[in-house]
Amino acid sequence: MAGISKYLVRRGLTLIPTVLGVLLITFFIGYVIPADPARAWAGGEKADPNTARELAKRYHLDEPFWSQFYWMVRGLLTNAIESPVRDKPIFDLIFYRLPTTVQLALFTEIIAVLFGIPMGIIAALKKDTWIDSSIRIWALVGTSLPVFWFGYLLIYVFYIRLPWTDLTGVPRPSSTITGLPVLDAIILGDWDVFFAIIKRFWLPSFMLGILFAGTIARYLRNTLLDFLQSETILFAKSKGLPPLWVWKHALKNSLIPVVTIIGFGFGSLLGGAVITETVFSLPGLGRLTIEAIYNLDFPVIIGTTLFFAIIVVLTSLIVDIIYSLIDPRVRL
Amino acid sequence: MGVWELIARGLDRISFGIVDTVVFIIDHIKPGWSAKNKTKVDEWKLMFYAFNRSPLGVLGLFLIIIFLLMGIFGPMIAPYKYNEYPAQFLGDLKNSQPGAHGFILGTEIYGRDLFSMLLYGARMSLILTVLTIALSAPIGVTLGLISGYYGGKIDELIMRITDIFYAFPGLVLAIALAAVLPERLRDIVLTNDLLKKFLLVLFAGAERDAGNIAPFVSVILALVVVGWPGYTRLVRGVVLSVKENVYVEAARALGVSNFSIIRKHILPNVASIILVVLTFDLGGIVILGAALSFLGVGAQDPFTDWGKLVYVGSRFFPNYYWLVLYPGLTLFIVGLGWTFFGDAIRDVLDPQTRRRIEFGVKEEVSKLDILPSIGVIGIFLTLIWTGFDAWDVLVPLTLVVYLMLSGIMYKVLEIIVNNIDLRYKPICLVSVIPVLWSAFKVHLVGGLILSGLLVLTYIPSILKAGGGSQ
Amino acid sequence: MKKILEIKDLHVHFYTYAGVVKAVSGVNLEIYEGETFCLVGETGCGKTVTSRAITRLVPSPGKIIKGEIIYYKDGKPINLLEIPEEKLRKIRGDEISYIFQDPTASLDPLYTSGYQITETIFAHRKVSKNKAWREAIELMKSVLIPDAESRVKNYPHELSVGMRQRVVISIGLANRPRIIIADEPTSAVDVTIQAELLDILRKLKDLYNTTTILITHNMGVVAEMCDRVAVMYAGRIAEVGTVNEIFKDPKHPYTKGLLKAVPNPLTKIEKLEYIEGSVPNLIFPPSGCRFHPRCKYVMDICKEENPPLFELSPTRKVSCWLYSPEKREGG
Repeated sequence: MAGISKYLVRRGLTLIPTVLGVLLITFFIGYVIPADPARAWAGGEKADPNTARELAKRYHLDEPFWSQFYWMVRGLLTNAIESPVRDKPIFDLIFYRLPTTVQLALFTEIIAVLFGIPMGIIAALKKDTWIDSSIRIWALVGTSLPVFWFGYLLIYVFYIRLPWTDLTGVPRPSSTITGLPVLDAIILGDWDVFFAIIKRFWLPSFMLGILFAGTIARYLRNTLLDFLQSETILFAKSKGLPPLWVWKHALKNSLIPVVTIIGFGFGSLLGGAVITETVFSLPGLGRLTIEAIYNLDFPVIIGTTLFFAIIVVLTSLIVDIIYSLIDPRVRL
Repeated sequence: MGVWELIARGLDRISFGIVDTVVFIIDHIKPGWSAKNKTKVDEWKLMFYAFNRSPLGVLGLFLIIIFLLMGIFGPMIAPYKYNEYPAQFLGDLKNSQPGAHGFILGTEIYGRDLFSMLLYGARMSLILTVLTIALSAPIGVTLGLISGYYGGKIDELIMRITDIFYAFPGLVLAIALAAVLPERLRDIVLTNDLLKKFLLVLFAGAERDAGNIAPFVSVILALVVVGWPGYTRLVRGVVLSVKENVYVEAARALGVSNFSIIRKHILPNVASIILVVLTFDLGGIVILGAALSFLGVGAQDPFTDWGKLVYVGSRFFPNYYWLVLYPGLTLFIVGLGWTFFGDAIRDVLDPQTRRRIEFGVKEEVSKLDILPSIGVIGIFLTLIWTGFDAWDVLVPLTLVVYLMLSGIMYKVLEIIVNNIDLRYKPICLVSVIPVLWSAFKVHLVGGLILSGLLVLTYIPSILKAGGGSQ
Repeated sequence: MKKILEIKDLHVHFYTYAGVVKAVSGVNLEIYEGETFCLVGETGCGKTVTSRAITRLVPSPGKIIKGEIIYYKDGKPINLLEIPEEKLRKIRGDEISYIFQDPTASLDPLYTSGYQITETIFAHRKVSKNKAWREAIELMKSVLIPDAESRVKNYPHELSVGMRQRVVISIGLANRPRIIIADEPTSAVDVTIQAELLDILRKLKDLYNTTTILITHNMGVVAEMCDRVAVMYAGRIAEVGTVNEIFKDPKHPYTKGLLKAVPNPLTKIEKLEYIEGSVPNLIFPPSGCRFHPRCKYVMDICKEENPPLFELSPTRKVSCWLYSPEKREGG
């Protein structure tokens, strides 16, 4: 296991330039692009000049760029930057909304994997039949379906016509243990809240998940079919292995690249979460971002953009670790 | 299948004709070219042949052509201009239904004809997409070529930068940029006369709305920033693998300049993958652009594209459903067209996939395979007909899961039991019993129909298994 | 000598986008128990496909169109092309096993070598885990893998290519098969290892009287290892005979050309020659005898009809009109 910690350290070091770059870009967006940051932060064209001056002083917006950058990083680390619109430190806002987005992403991933992997296996088994074609079409539909449009259709069926989901608020259990409401509800045995959470989240997660599942299925199917033609499988068959054992070899080898897809799909899930949260009125990070843009709340825009980027970077790190655990060739 | 074959053959004639014409022209410029490159020409024809035989690809192409026509000619043939508000004076009937008062698809909230707006939307999407790709693809590809070919520190640097951009979820970065840029760009657009005229022509806009064109430019820039890393990564990968080829080494040893090597050896290999990515990107940008408008950062009044129509119309959903339904539907169909087309192109260009294409040994899609799909659709229709409300939530849910997994259950059982002559799948049936029980409990006729349809989904596997060994 | 395997009129076609490739068109072979039988020919002549067809391992888009493959077990003939899949599976790896050319591709990179050896054992016999792993270590020792006890837990990428091929051989031998089909087993390794591997194969054959079918294009290997040889060309058998007969007295024009084109350890030749023309397109193969476009002795009948395998002696068969009974008797 010493290898893993060395690997983590090494990987962590490569993260630093990336994080730095992310900070730079965020800085660019929030401080450099606006012609007059103070005025922009104060609300744009309709800003009160006094507020603008106050903000300029507080966040050192009149100083040279490198100084501004220094103060930005410091402010981020100490959570000293506040949203002018809501008068709260941005990270407070972010962390309050975080569980919602994380739950959405989590449920989506679970559904996507749960449906995607069997679909991929079935498509490979029943190659060139109507099942295979439909799964392929479903994967293509998944990439071209406008989520914001489909969401409304689903709401029509499952909320307006059938009382199967909620569109308001986010249920939370009485106390916070892990920070993730759904887990807390299970731990506390708070089953009412648990089912309320499921009722709230299942539709948006199902929508995103089932679309993503199509992509996973298609990729798994192609990898499986390619691998089934390989010498490795031929040799396994020539050993007289029962079909299930042969499949074990095929699956394990094919799932490895799929893991990368699942992991990196998480990043785009977060992006898609922005739209989903808007359509389904989920008060998560995505919604926060949109509201911030609507209100021209620059500090929050900076905060959420940065936060999203960090999540993606962490996810890719986790995917790398999982990869090294499954594939002995990558072990260190 | 006869119709598709006819269409394919017709397309063959058109596409081969195009190839022949092109070859003829090249021959005119460079005499003797066609003789030397006969295999290449044959390859092209084989690729067209393969593409013409992909129903999805052909369908996609058809949809794309419609999109292009809509985009180019839309604003000219639209019954009403985008800044005409014919229904404005209809008062309450501002949002009239499709068909009312002669508006084919109804009107939107400001009183404009929805159908015309859809056509204008096509123009917005088209221009947005073309301009974005025109900027992001060259940047991305060039960086990828440099990074892959020269390697070393340059490669590291470019890859680092790409990683940084990749760290942002695409939509989030695009939104942030699209929100922040317009202010800066507005002045640039208004003061630069040439740019202003150029944009107005492209977006079919009127002079007085020039101030509101800046957001479009921001969207384009935002999408370019989000889009170029994709090309760079992909191109770099291809370059790295081609670089290892011996003939590249040989060319270098002979002293051929780097530029020529890139041009003659590396670019052709890169070309096919760029083409595939380009096609998918074109579809993706249409949807991404619409998504940005939906979130409020794209088109600004009075310019409206499909996304904005949904954004505005969502407030009145579902009463004035046409405001959301038709723009979204158009967007979906266009996106689908690009995706189908891109998928077919990828199949055609990827030598590995081409190897997999089999000629004449296609597993027969027997009529037996259609029965389950009829059964599945029928089950859903029955559930809707008997009224979802009357059922336990668990019933339809279990059915959906069962239907999706029943394919697997059969296979797993088959493998475990190791007996291909399995005539029944009794264990699968067990899972359906609670479903049927609640079905009958709730709605007798519905339950009967449901059981019949479930049997329908079983018949093929029973027949096939009983029919003999594999 | 008892027959152990007989291939009758085997036809295998590949359905590709470019057309139907008639890879194997009428192959007839008899293989006797305990012998080392070599199948030689250039790349693309169909020898690999034939060997895979024996246990129905032909990958799509290939299909076995017709023919019979009779495997003699305890004196009883079994047509391998007709028995149910499950029965065939039991024969594979247990009575007929394979060794392929590229050990890196054959071994699954995600599983240890020991796992892959014991997998074969578990697939066919009921053995305890401990016993199976001990057997695996013994097998690895018998193929001269040093330090077998620790190597058995190694992953393929941790072994050298030569060792990987030894693991493959030990997998092939794990269940004491009656027939081993080795498809270019030494092409992926360099010459010194090649010699060792052939040595191992020979010793094991002597120990267990295993019938070995060796597929190769290397005449040196043929000369060293084989008892009988069959020469294939463009999907058909050109001639069959003992090693001495083929090397000393090749009858088929193709065999003659082949032996003149490679250094021959049994006969001294002054200069290497090549055969005019090129390997035929198997989608549109030449009519009649497939070698006729390149043959120095071509006659009219060669272009019309494919010659059957004429039996010149119990051990000698040639598929060439030069050796038809009429020709031999008359002039």
